[in-house]
Amino acid sequence: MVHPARQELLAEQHARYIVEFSQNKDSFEYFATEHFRLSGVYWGLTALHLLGRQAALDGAEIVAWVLRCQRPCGGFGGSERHDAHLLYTLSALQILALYDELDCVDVDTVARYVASLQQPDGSFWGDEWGETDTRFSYCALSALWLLDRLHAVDVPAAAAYVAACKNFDGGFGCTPGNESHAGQVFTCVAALDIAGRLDLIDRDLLCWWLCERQTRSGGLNGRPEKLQDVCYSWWCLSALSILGRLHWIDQAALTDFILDCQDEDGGGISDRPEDQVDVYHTFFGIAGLSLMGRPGLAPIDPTFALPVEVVDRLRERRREPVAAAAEAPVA
Amino acid sequence: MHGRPRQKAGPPDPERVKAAQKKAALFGQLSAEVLERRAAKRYDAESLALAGKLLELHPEVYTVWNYRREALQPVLDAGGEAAVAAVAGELALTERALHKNPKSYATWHHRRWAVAKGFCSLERELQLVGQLLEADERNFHGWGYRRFIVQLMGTPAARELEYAEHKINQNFSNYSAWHSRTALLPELHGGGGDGGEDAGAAAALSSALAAARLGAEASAAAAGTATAPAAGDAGHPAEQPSQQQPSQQQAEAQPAAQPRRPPPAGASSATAAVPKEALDEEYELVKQAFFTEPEDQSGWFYHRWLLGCSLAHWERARGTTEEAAERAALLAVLAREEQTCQELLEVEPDAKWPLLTLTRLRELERQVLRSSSSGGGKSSGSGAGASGSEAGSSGAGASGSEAGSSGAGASGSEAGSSGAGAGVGDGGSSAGGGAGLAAEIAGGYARLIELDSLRRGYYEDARDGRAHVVAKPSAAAAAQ
Repeated sequence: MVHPARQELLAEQHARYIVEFSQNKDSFEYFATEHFRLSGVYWGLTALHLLGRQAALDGAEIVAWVLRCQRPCGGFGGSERHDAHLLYTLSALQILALYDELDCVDVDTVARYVASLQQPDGSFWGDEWGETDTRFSYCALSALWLLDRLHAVDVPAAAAYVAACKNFDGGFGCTPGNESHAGQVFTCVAALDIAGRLDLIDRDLLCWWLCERQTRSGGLNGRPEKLQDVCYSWWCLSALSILGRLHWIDQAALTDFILDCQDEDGGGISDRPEDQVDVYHTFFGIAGLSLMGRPGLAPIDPTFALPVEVVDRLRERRREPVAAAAEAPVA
Repeated sequence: MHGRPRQKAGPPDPERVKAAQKKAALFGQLSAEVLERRAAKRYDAESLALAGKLLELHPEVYTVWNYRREALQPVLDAGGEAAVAAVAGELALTERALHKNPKSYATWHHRRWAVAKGFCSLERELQLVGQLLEADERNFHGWGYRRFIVQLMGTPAARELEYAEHKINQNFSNYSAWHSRTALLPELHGGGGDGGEDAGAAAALSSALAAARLGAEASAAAAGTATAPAAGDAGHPAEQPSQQQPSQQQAEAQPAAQPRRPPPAGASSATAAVPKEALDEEYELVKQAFFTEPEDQSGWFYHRWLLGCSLAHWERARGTTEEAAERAALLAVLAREEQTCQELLEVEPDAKWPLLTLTRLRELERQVLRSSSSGGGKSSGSGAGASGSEAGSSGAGASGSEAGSSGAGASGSEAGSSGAGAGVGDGGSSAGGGAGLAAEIAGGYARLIELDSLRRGYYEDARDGRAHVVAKPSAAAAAQ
């Protein structure tokens, strides 16, 4: 059923698509994506890493640009001209982690920015303007874990807030009382994983809800009675993977769906077959294939959405006494 | 791009390319102009109009919403007619922006910010979001915004429950509306399971107010002027003046010095708070959905929650004088619901949802029968079941990966399954439910594997006692 030209992962074309997209600075998309460019770069770069082609982009240039996106408050804006926000602070740290350049930032300044956004009920604002969402709980905990500064916030309160967003179907919404959504499920499950509180999840119930996201097409949707979309290959699959239930979906069918969303002409992956490709879906398609153990792709960590190699490197370093002493918290 | 058809390769149409380049250049110029004025802190009408123009074209540019808030905050703090006019302007702008992109997080947040200032009619907001949900019935931003407004207005849960029923009757597949009932019913009947009375409502309100905090400050600061919030929200915002926007200085001075409030309790897990009579009405409502749209999953997920609530009544009565009566009531519910599933299966023998539900009803029945045969109350098996669950399920997870899970199943499963693996196996059925029930359950899952092979891995785990979505091993149930 997969288009004859899309039977294989078109790694070369995807890498070329990502590089060309990042270099085309005249398109409408270039301007329209300016406010979240740090996330766009993170998606493209991580995809290239998984494809083993990270050398296709100039790392020194990217790291220098990332640092220019940092605001005096310690947080990062979506690009040089934009305000600090947790979403882009996490993207910035993820990019620096990919290049093993986290030392370029003042860890405690960034950690203080993140901590300043935690609220008395354990939730996080995205920025000083007060939007509350469990997406930001994930951004905060993931960012602090990358910085090895989890203790800068009240982690039990953060976990309790996420748990309060749990719904009747075992899924999670953006604030208490809001409907479950697979994207939100990823952020909440991963946040609880970082907090060491996976026990707060109704594991079987949630994973059943997640496996019901697979439609006859083989693709996954994000909520009941919605259309399948490649990006849920990440949102649903990462949660299933963290919870040890990847085998509850038909992985062969999902693989075919993702492959069929490839553009064999220009490279890249779209939300559904024959739609226009973009970097976001290209990354989430490749990341989904990586979670399913696709040969030729580096494995991705389901909690931190970074190559396992990068996460392992950070873990290793923390275990080494010298590194531990160097990174010890300032009391 | 979401839902945008791919353009086939070939020589590009020069006219089209030219138009695209022009559009890009214009947008780039507008962005540059707006961001420069922002950097220069220009808060005049012309600058704000340009910012508004940009947001109408591209509502997700959060920095430009920040720009408008910076500019308008002093106006709103001062209150009076200028504040009323400013809020009206923001409402009109966000309405146009939502027309462009009804899922724009940044726009919805800006509207909440403006509304929380208290210079507008909440009734009108309710009406507008009602219109949006007529056109876009699953928009979760719209549902969340509605919840925000009714909480500000202090609307009783009963009225919102009527609204949810209205939406369900329009379309039985409206999962958002079913979800809404699971949050409202416990609230109507006195709070969620573990949080005490009103915990769910309080949690939701606290969350809504978090977004509105700056508005509260403004209202408090300008108390006495014409800043009284619109009708119906006498008890709302201004009582949180102590919450402050985290300034940079504060953040650096005392990173984690905020007082901690107890976290909000989960609102809608299965609960015995909803009385059995009310549950019966819900079973009747969802039955109508089954007979109208038997293949739609929304009602079935809701039904599973109802079963959890029925089960909770029995669980709560365990070891009390009411246990026998609750047990009988639960068995009667199970029998009635099994009957409904059987009727649906007579019409359509291969229907997955009634078959899955029937199989789960039988699992529940077996659980109830088993527990009573082992002496009722605190069964002696519960301790063993609990201690066995860790090892049992982790082993099961590994051995259960025959469906080609590529080894990833092991990656994150430190805590194992929530249920005890072997506890509910064949030994259990012979103790109470009888071999017939066990065979029907196994047969149900075997048929589901044929009918719905995508979820084979789940059905196998459920069949083999490694997954528990409704019925639970007694140990797990007793522990809750």
